[in-house]
Amino acid sequence: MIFGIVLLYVVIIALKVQRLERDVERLEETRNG
Amino acid sequence: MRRIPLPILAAASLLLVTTALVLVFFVAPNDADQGFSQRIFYFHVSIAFTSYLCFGAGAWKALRHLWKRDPRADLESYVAVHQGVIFGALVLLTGSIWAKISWGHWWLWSENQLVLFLVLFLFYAAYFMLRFSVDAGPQRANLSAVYALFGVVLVPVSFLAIRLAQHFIHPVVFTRHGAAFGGWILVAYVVSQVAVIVLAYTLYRVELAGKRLDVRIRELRAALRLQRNTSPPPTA
Repeated sequence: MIFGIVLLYVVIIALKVQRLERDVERLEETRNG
Repeated sequence: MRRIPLPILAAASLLLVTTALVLVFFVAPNDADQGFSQRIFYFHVSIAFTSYLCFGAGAWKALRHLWKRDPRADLESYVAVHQGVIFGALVLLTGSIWAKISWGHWWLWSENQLVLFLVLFLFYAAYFMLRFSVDAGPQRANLSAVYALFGVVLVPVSFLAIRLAQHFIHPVVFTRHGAAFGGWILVAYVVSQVAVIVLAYTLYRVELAGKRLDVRIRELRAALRLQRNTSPPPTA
C-alpha cells in the first residue's frame, strides 16, 4: 500500500517535471525570439 | 539517442514493482530454513546490486567528465552518486532488519561484508561534504569526479569480501556456478531486480531533470532581470 502511494507520487512528479520542461522550453523560445 | 519519456518510465516502475511485490509475497515459496522473513532477500539483494550500479554509473560519468570534458557529465555523476547513497541506506536498513530476525543482532562488526559496505556507504556520503565545501565551478566538478572514481574501487572489494572470507554467516547466493536457487524464487528475484533498477533509473532521471530545470529557470530569471534593468523607464 505504502509502496503504491510512493510510486504513484513518482508518476505524478514525472508528469509535472515533463510539463515544466515544456513550459521552460516555450519561455526560452520566446526569449530567443 | 532518444530517451524514454519520464512518465512512461515512472509507469513502468509502478507496474514492475507491483508485479515484484505480488511474486514475492504471493507466489514465491517460503524458505525451508528461514521461513517468511527470508522474503526480505528479494529487496535487500536487488537494492544492494542497484546501489553498486549507481556508484558505477557515477564513476563512469566522472570519467567522462575528466576524459571527454562532457559538460553534462558532472551533474549526471552527482545524481548517480546521490541515488547510490539513497539505495545504500536502504541496503543497510533492510540488511539490519534481516540480520535481527535471522542472527538475533542488528549489526555485527565481525562481518567483513557488512563493515565493507558501511565503509563504501560512508565514503560516498562524504562525497557530498567534499562537493558542497567547494564553490560551484570547474574545480568542484574535477574534485568530485576524482573522488567518485576512487570510490568505485570499493565496489568489487565489497562484493568479493564475502566470497574471500574464511568464515562467515552472511549467506552467498551467487557463486561461480550461478544462482543458488531456481524456480519461482529465481523468477521473483529477477523481476525484483529489474523493478528496482528501473525504479532507480526513473528516480535518477527525475532528479536530473529537476536539477537541469533549476539551472535553466535561474538563467531565464537572470536574463529577465538584466532586460528589466537595461530597458528604458516607461514614459508617463
